[in-house]
Amino acid sequence: MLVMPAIAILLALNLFPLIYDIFLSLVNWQIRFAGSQPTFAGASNFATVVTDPRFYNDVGVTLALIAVVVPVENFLGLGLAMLLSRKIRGSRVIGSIIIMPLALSSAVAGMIWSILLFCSFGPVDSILELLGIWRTCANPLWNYPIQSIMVADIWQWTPFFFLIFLAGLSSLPREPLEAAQVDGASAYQTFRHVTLPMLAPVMGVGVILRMMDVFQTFGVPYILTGGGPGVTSETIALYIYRAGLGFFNLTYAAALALVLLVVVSVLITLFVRIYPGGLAR
Amino acid sequence: MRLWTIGWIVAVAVVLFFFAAPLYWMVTMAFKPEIYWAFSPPPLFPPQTTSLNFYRGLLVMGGAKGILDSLFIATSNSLISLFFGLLAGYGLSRYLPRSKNLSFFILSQRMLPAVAFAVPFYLLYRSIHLYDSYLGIILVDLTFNLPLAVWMMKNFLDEIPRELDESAQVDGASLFRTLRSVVVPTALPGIVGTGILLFMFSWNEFVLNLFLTIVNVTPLPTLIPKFTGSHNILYGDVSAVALVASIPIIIVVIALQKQLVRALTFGGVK
Repeated sequence: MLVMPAIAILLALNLFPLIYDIFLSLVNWQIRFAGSQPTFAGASNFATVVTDPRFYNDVGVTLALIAVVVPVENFLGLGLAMLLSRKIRGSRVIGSIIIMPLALSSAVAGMIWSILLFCSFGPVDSILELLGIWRTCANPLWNYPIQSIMVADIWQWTPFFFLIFLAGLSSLPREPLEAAQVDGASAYQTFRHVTLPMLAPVMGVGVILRMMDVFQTFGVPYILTGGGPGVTSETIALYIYRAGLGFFNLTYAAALALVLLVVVSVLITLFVRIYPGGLAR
Repeated sequence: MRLWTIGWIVAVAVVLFFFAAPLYWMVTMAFKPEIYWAFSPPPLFPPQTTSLNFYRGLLVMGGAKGILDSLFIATSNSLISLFFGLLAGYGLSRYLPRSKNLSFFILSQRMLPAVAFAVPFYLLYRSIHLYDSYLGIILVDLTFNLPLAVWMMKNFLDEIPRELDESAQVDGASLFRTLRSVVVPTALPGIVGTGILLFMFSWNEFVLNLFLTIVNVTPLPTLIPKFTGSHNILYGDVSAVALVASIPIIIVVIALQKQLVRALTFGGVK
């Protein structure tokens, strides 16, 4: 039927890589030497992954990123959407400004922030120095690499939450809100017990999408810190890239990718289960 | 009460500053001559402006090609995803209305990490000579755009009553005709909004581009790291390229903001 072409494409494009990944992760294949053949190696690649300290370091970095970035973007976007959902005069213009970071490519956003945060001629340093917060040339890209990535990511993706909350708020039914006001609820109470539960599905979808994206975030860390001094701000996706195209250890990269896939799938399933109220969308 | 409103205004101003200031910096950087790049502390307004960054960044370093490549890839991919997504969404909406599981399965394909695809596609493409080709990237971007397109189209088409199709078919229209003359025009805002989203996701995609292109096809993620040399980084040029790359996108997003919001609410209030 009509659905068939799309499903066929998806299966071909999505299933094939996974199978190939599984194959790659179970063999020992020195691809960088021409003419070498794959030899079955069982789970040794996975054993290497599990005992790899760099892997755990990267997982820690990625988890730290998620733990900070997703809630901040979520609530910042929510606050902005609530502020701008009332039709004040400049709200269209302000909304347009807020959306702009989202329209930039990740590469561009990373580049902008690497300029901003660079010690000697980045304005961030000068401004913070003026405000007396820190000393000259504290070099955030070197000393606070993970925080720099967080700032750049928040800058780029809060508009995403802003957009979906704006959409969600505009489609909320009026009756519960009016009923709450008639019953004498304060603004805060209305928000917490009426608006928020109604927005919960939208919030859930946004959080899941963002969580998965941050799990495999690559562009911003790559351009901003390149993994940080050493590997302090390396994310899992960066490691897969380095293992695959850097060390050319494609079998190891495949094993890493599969582990990442399993972890992400488990987390998503868990999250959908425990999310209060379920996800209507 | 006054204090509260003043507080809100200050908060909004700070937030606006946070979002707009980097963009302002990008703009000024694009016009700054090379001498002023490393000034410390950096000047707020460039003392002199130059168009050399634009010339060098766009023409010499391949910035124009990079932007056009990204545009071409993102547009092609969005259109292809929209086409198949529309068909599949229609099929799911009209012929398989109670297929929650299938819909969710299709949507879950979106959630697979792109990095997991990178290595297999790299190896595959090298064997079948799709490496570093437009077709290669367009196909690969389908892995995450197509599921989203199908899902969104299905939801939009669910909003359109079946009677509309049925009345067209009673009048003797074939399936394709129904789609073309009745369904698509009605769902057009949703289609446009979805298209914008798909475009943005493809435009932003980084890892797969980096893995699978290098010289012939240079979308922005592949191009921008090339501005980092061993002795210096061409900040002005990169900013110029970024500026030119951003203008069409920003215009589109601002002009079609309504469609975008519409797309996210699936048509608005019931």
